[in-house]
Amino acid sequence: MNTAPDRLWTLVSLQLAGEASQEELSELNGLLKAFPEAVFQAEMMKELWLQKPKPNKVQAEDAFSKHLQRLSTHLSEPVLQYEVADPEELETPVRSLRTWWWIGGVAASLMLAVGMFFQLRPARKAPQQNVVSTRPGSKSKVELPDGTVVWLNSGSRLVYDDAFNTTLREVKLIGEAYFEVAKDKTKPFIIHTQTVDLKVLGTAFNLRAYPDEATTETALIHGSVEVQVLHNPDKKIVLKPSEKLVVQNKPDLKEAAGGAATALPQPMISISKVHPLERDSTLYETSWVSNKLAFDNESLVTIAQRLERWYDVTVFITNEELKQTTYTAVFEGEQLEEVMNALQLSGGFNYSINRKEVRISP
Amino acid sequence: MNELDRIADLQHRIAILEDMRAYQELYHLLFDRLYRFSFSFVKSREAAEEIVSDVFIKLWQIRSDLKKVVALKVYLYTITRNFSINYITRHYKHQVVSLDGMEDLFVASASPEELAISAEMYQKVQAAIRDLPPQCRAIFQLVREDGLKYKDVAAIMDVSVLTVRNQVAIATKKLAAALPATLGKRIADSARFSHS
Repeated sequence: MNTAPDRLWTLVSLQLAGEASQEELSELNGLLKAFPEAVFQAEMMKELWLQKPKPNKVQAEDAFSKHLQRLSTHLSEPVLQYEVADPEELETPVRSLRTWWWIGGVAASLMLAVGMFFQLRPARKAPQQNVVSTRPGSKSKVELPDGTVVWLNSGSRLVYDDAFNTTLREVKLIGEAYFEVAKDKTKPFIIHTQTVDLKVLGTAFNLRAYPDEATTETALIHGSVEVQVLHNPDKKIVLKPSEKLVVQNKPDLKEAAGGAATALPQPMISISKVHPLERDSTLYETSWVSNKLAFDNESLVTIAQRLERWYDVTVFITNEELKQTTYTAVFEGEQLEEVMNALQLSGGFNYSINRKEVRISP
Repeated sequence: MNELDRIADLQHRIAILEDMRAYQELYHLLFDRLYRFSFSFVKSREAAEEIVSDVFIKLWQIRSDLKKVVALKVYLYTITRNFSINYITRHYKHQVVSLDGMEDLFVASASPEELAISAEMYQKVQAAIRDLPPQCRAIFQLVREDGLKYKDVAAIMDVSVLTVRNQVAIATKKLAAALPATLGKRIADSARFSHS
């Protein structure tokens, strides 16, 4: 039944759907001239057609939060797909690492023992492990097989096996390092630490994950990284350039490290901006790479930890009040004595250095 | 950035970076359309919402394979349809038909006055759309609301392009029948419509 009006509506539908050919469009024009009474309806139809439903934002928000809950219960697979290990394998090393670090102030050699434990596991083909480590008081720069450059701060350790750069680029970091990751979109670069996992493509950032510190810090310089917080698997955070992510390693660790219990509780996870040094383009977060020792409003107890690693000494602070006094300073190439003198001047404390021991008292 | 480029960008970020923000953005971009599409099958708000959720769970589960998906939007509509049909098959006996969910099919930023349509006529158009057979309505919705091409709609609905073309023509004709030939005293206004 191909009467003119039927044909006309077919042509109108083709026109409005953007599917009409040139011939069909001219046929439509001809029909509209032949049936002028349909012109008005055709225009109405066009107006109705162009009215798009208004999306219901509130409903979408609401539905998304419900959806996230369903998603987290549905995920039977490990949240990070690159964790190819079976659940047992996945669990054991993590637990060992956590246990070690929970004891606090673990020597790097013990960490190596954990590393060897992986190797000695009989069921698994033991991949050859490469370990790059720095002693307290020294720093080092390494280039990985994929061209990624890593600056390793004092008392840190970087581990990767022979599978590195085959399908993935996976490393483990204990301590602090600045990464300039070579671009390779096909092989994600993944860094495991005790508290967070990082997944990156090509980017530069500083990652500070000392087991004996209260927090794990990721400062992104450029590019993009995704941070997976391990004791909160639902939390995945994508950092933008110049953002810094600070994750508490464990709430009670602060006390174990000698911090004041009176301090305000810190949020588990916080994002802030990286902090440039005054009159300089370098950042506090990465100043150590250019051999600058920078303190950004840090407490003496935190500074003590950093001095211990930087100069390979042990620092004792005999007074609790003194531990919480804060300092902001930048040192470049100074001897320990010079640093201590400067801090002493602004802090009004006394100190003594005896071989590898520094004592700070009121 | 047009919508397809934006979707492709989000797809890339989800696949490569497992970017949760991109995932959320994609959800917000497509929720409404997928929800309405699913509703046209299952006729239940709760079920439609859950189906869209299932679709996005699936999306997250297969994120590492997303690189291979050529047209993500078409793909999402397709699994929405599959999930909706599965739902109907499972829940057929308890199917509750509610008509109110589709009322806002034509609800838009413009009010009926702005459209030069009387409230009565607006109701008639709504009724005409509601009366369309389900498949016809779903096809019409994909073409009109999302601006999808006939070949994409054919792939989503698992029908031929010719069927899509015919169904859209039928829907248009039925709607036209609900429109008055003239608007009485407002006929003079019709001069503002040009049809060159």
